[in-house]
Amino acid sequence: MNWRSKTEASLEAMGDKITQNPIKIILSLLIFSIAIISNLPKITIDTSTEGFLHDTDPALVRYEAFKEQFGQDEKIMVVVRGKNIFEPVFLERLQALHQELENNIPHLNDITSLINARNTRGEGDQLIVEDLFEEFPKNKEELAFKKNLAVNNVMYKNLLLSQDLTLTTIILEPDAYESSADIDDLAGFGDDESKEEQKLEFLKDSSKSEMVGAAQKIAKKFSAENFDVFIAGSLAVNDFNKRAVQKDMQKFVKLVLLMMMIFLFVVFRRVSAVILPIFIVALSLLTTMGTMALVGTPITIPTQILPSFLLAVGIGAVVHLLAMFFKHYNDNGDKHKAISYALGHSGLAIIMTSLTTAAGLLSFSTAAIAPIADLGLFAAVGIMIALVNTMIMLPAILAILPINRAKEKHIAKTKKMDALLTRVALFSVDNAKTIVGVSVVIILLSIFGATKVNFTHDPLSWQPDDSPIKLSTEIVDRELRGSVTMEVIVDTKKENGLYNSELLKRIDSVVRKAEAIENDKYFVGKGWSVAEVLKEIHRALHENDEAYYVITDNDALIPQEFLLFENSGSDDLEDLVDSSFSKARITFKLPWMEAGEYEELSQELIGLMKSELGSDVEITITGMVPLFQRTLSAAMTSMATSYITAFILIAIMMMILLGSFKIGLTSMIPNVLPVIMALGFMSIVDMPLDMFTMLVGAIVIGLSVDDTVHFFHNFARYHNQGLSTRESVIKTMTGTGRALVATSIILSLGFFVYMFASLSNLINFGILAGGSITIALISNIILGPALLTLITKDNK
Amino acid sequence: MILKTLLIASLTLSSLFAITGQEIAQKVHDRDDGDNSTSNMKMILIDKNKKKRVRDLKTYTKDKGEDKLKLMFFLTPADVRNTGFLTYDYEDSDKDDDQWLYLPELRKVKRIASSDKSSSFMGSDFTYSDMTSRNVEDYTYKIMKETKVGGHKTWQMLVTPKTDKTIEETGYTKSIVFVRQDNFVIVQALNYIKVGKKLKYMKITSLEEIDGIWTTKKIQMVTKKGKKTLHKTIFEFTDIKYNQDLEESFFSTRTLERGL
Repeated sequence: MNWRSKTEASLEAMGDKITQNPIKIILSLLIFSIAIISNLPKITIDTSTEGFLHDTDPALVRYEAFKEQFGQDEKIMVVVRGKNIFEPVFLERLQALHQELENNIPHLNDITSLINARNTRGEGDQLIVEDLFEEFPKNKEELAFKKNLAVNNVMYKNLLLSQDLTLTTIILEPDAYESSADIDDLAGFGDDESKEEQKLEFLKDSSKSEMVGAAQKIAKKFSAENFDVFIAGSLAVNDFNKRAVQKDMQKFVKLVLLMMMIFLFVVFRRVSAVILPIFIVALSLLTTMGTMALVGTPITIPTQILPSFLLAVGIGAVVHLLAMFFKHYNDNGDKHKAISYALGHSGLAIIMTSLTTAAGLLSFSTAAIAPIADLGLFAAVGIMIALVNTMIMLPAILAILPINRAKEKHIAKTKKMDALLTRVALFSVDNAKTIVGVSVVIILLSIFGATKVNFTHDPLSWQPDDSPIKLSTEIVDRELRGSVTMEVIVDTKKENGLYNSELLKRIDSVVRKAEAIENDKYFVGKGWSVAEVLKEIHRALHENDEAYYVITDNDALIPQEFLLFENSGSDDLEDLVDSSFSKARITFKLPWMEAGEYEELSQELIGLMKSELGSDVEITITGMVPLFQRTLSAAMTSMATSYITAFILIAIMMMILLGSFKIGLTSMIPNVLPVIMALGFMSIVDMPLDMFTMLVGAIVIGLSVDDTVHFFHNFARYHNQGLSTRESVIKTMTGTGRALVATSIILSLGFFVYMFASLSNLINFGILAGGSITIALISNIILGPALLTLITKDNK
Repeated sequence: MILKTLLIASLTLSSLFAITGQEIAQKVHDRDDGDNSTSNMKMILIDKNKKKRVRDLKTYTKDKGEDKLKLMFFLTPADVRNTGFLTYDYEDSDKDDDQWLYLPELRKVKRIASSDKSSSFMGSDFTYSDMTSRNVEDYTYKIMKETKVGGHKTWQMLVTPKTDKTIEETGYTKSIVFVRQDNFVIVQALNYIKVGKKLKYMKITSLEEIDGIWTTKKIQMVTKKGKKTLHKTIFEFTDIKYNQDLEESFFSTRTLERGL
C-alpha cells in the first residue's frame, strides 16, 4: 500500500467514526463557528490610500511621521462654481456654506475658504492680519477692494480661486487623529509627565468617509443655479470606491448564491443537495469573515472578492463529496456506508485540491500590498475552514438527515455527454503533437504580448466615466491645477536652522522653478512653503510695496518676522515649520495621474531640489503621490513574488501527489498556459495590469491544478492497472471529465459575476479570471491528455 | 441636639446656595489684580515631541479706568531681544484692542490690527482672550459642585457663552472653571475648543499673596486631544512688584522704540 491508499483508508475510517457521533460533532463545530461569527459586527471597511500598505512599510512610516508633525495632508475640496464669484449674492451663499460646513462636518480640524483666508497686508503704519471676508463688504467699493486683494494674492491662486474666477474652493482639513469619545475630560488636569502617554490612533478611514458623506450632503443642499457645489480630492475618490465596495459585495454574494442554487438543483435535482452545500459554504464564509473581524482585518477593495470567491471555490469540494455519496447511496441504500465510501474515494482529492488552491492564494500572503496579503491569508484560511466543514460537518449532517434514494437516473443525458467527452479524449490523444505544437505557439505569442503589459495603479480610473468624483477631479485638475499633493520636508538638522535668508530664498526658488514645470505629460500646479509667509509679512511691513515681496536679506530680521507672524493671529506657521524652526515643509500640488506617470515628474522635482538646496539639508519626500508610487512598486514586486511562490509551491505539491518530478512539472504546463494567455489577452485589448488583474495568475494556477490533480490522478490509476494510454485517457475523461466541466463552469461563472461590479478593476478581474478558468478547463482536457500521451510509455 | 444639627445642616446648605454662579463670576472679575505692576516673565513652550523653547520677557501693566495698558519686551532669545509689544486692552468688548509692535531689526513701530482674540498669544497655548478678563454678562454660569483643588475648597462651575459671537471671539464653546472660595481666583479651568475638538487645561501651579494681592507666579496651559498632549505652555513670573508709579505716557510707542 502506498501513502495514497493508506490515506484513503484512514479517511474512510474517519467516515465510520463521524457516522457514530454525528450530533456531538455538529454541535461542537457549530458552537466553535458561532463563537467566531459573533465577531462579525466588529468588521470594518478601509479603502484609504494608506490602507494599501503595511503598517511597517517605510513609505507609510515616513508619511505618518509627517502627519504627526504637520497634520493631515489629505483634504476634502468643496468646489463651488459660479459665473461671478465676487458678487454679493454668491459671496453670501459661500459664507453660509462655509458656516454650515464648519458647524456640521465631523472630525474637522480646519476649514479654509475665501471667507476666512489669511490676508496679511500693510496700510500706512498699520499691519493688518485678518480673514479676507471677516467684515462683509458694505458697498461696491469695499467689494471691489476685497476682490482686488483676492485676485492679486499669490497664495489664493489655484488653491482658493481658479484663474478665470469661476471656481472657488472650501478646503476641509481632517483631524490627524481619532478622538476618543469615552474619556473623562476633567481627568486631564492630572500631571501628564509621570504617566505613559497613550499613542493616539490616526484618523480612521470610516471617519474620513463620515466627513465626505457629510460634505456631500451639504454640497447637495447648497447647490443652486450659478452655485454648483461639488466635492473633489483623494478622500472623495476613496469614499466613492468604498461605497462601491459596500454595494457590490452584497450583489456578488447574492448572484453567486443564486447561481449555485440553480447549478446544484440541475446537477442533483434534490432540495437537500441545494441547501446542504450552501449551508456548508456559507458557514465557512461567515467563520472566515468572523476571523477577520476578530483579528481586526478590514474589508478592502481587494478583499471584497473574498465572500463570493469562497462561496464559488468552496462549493466544488462539497459537490465532489456529495456526488460520490449519492452515487453509492442510490446504488446501495446504506447511508453510513455511503458516507464512508465518499470520504474514502474523494477525500484525498478534496484535501489535495484545497491545499493547492490555498497554496496559490497563500502566495499573496507576503505581498507588500497589505490588502492583497490579507486576501491571500484569509482566502487560504477560508478554504481550510471550508475543508474541515466539508470533510467533517457535511458527513455528520448527512448521517442524521433523512434522505431518500433517487428514483430514476438521467442516463440518456449522461450518454450524450460521455460521447462528447470521448471524442475530446480521442482528439487529444490522436493529435497530441499538433496540440502541443499549437500550445507552444500560443504560449510564445502570449509571452510576447505579456511583455508589453504595463503595471498600473490608479484608483480613480476604476470608477465609471460618469462618476461625479471622476468628473470633479478632472475639473479641479484642469481649472485649479491639481488635486493631490507631494510633500517635502527640508531638514536643516539644527535648531533655528531656518533663520537663514539664503536657504529660504533657495526654498522659494525651488517652488518657483517647480511651478514652471509643464509639458505634454505632466505639470506642477502650485507649490508653497514658509517662504510665502515671510514674503507676505515682509511686504506688509513695508506698506504693501510689491518690491518687498521677497525674503529679507537680513538673517537677523527673520526670527523677528516669524515672531510677529506667530503673534499676528494666525496659527498657519505650525503647518509649515516645526516648532524649533529646523524643518520646513514644501507642498506641491499635482494633477491626478496613474501612479507610474509620476515617476518622471518626481525625478525632475527631486533633481531640482537636490541641485537648488544642496547637500547641507536632508530632504524627505512623502504625501499622497509618493504613497501611490510606493503602492505601484509594491504591487509589482508582490506580483512577481506571488507568481513564483505559487508556481513553486504547487509544482512541489503536484510532484508529491503524482509521485514523479517529470510528470509533476509537466502537469504544470496546462495550468500556466491560461495565465500566460490572460496576460497576452490584456496586451491585445489594452487592459491594465494592476493589483487586481495581477491576482488572476496565482488564483487561476491554484484552481486550475484541481482539474489536473483529478485528471492526472485518475489517469495514473488506470494506467497502472495496465490500460493503454488511449484507454486511460478515455476512461479518465468519462469518469471525472464531467465533474471537471461542471466545477469549472460554476467557478468561471463565480468570477464572471464581478463583471457586474461598479469599479472597472473588478470587472477586468472578473473577465480575466472567468476566462482563464474556462481556458484552464480546455487546456486540462485537451493539452493535458496530449502531454500525457507524449510523455507516457504506452502499455501495449 | 437635633435642632442644632438641623440648624447647622440648613446653614451649610444655605451657605452652599447663598451665592450664585453669576455672583461668583462677578467677584472673580472684580478681584483686585494689582496695578502699576512690573515683572519678569518666563515663557516655556513645549511641543508634542517635548521640545522646549524658552523666552524671557519684561512686562509692565497699568490700569486706565477699566481698560488695561500693557508693555512687553523680549529679553531672550537673543535673536528677538528688544522686540516689544504695546497693548491697549479695552473693557468694552465691542472695541478691538490696540496693539503696536516694534521690530528692532527694522527700527519701526507697526500697529497691528487684529480682532481675532482666539488666536495664540506669542505662539503659546494661551490666547489673547485668556490673557484678558472675561465680561461677566457674556456668559451663563452653573455651579456644578463644590470640590477641593490643591487642598482648597472651590466651586466647580460650567461657563457657557450666551452668543455665537462670544464663541467666535474666544474660540471656546464652553469652559469648566474652578474658583477658590477663599479668594475668588480661578485656579484651574478646562476650555472646550470649537474647531478640532481639542481641550485646553489651564492650571495655576503657584499662587502667592503679594502686597495683599493674590498673584499667579506660575501658570500652565496644556492643549490636549483625547489623552495626548499636543502642546504645553508654562508662564513663570518673578520679581513681581505692584504700585510702581508707572506713568501713562510710559505706555507709548516711543517707549517701544527706545527699548529697555
